[in-house]
Amino acid sequence: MTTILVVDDSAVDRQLAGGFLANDPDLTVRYAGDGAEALETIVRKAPDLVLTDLMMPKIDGLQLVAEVRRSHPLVPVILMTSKGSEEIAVQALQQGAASYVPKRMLARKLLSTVRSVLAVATRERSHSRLMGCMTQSECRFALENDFTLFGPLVAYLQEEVTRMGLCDETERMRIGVALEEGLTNALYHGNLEVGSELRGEDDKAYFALVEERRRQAPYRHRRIHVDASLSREQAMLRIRDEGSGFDPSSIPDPTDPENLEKASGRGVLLMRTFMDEVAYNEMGNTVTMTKRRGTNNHPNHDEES
Amino acid sequence: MSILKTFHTESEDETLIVMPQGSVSSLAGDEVSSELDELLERLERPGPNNVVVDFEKVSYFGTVMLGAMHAIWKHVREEGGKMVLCNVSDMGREILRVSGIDVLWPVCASRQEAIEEVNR
Repeated sequence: MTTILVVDDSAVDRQLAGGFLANDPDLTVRYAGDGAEALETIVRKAPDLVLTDLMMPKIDGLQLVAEVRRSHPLVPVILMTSKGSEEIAVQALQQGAASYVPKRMLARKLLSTVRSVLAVATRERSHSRLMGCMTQSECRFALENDFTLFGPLVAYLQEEVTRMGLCDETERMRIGVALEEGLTNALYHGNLEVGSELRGEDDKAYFALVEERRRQAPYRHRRIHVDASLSREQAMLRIRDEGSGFDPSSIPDPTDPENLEKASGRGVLLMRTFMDEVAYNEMGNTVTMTKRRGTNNHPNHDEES
Repeated sequence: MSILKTFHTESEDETLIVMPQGSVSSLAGDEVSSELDELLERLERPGPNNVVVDFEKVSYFGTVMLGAMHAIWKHVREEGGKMVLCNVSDMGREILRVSGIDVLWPVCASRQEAIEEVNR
């Protein structure tokens, strides 16, 4: 049986919505008088869908959407909007509410909206269960020299690593930092062959050279290759550029007080600190980073291979 | 108040507040470069010499951000001002510490504390 939790501080509106839902024999309706009571009910037993008013005392509909999204991301929330609550409804939709139904149209639209949202939620739950069964994932990307792709790629890989149960939130961020540093190095120092000497000395000239080379052959034809091999035990992330490579042992120690104001070496240091293993190939154009399940980062200065 | 996308700025108690925001973790390229230029030009104009970088809206960042902070700090230092960071997440503090540059800039818990620190 599919359970719908109807949340409204107006007993009349609550019963009205519940009455429309009761026309579907497959639906069981439960009620809460405000957001706080709704959250207590959800904690006891999560419903399949929450239908909520927006303007309520204590915890309002907007807060309820945010809290349900956080604690029960697979339970969809539908808003009941009335005149004057349009602005807050937009905010609620931006925060992840699944849909909305104006109160004056409950008779015509409520059941069809609930059914279509439930259908999507059922598919999402099945998908989530299936993904929970995944034990190995491999993916490969060939990126143009476009730094705006880094954010989405890192977010995607962070999500995959989390899905594999390899890390908590802190480790997820550390992996994100390491990945971004690896990608940034591959773009600027690898494919575009722009050294970090200019950085910190003349940032304008540094970025001008970056932009120039992004449009210039042979640099613009180069790609950044990212291979990710993820299992329940470890994440192996490999980043290869098509530049001429470098000698990782030549990087100065950025924590040496003499180098404090230089830009060089910090990215590699962060990668080595936040991952369990970091190794470069002989040419210095491929870095392989490994994060194992359940390991917290410790300062790690593995030798290059 | 500014309309910069990555470095939101405002003035408070004769201090320039810089608030990195959005996807600063991968900031780079032309747009950020021009935003940084605009920020540095603003520091050269008559007005506040002190800067507070408020990280309230950013949970972590990388070396590109550190490079931008370094550029701002150089300007501030040349103008005889001070730069202080605030609202830095645990992850952000770890990045500063690991990078070895936590010694360059004081880190305060709140914006108010940071403003008091630069005006001390």
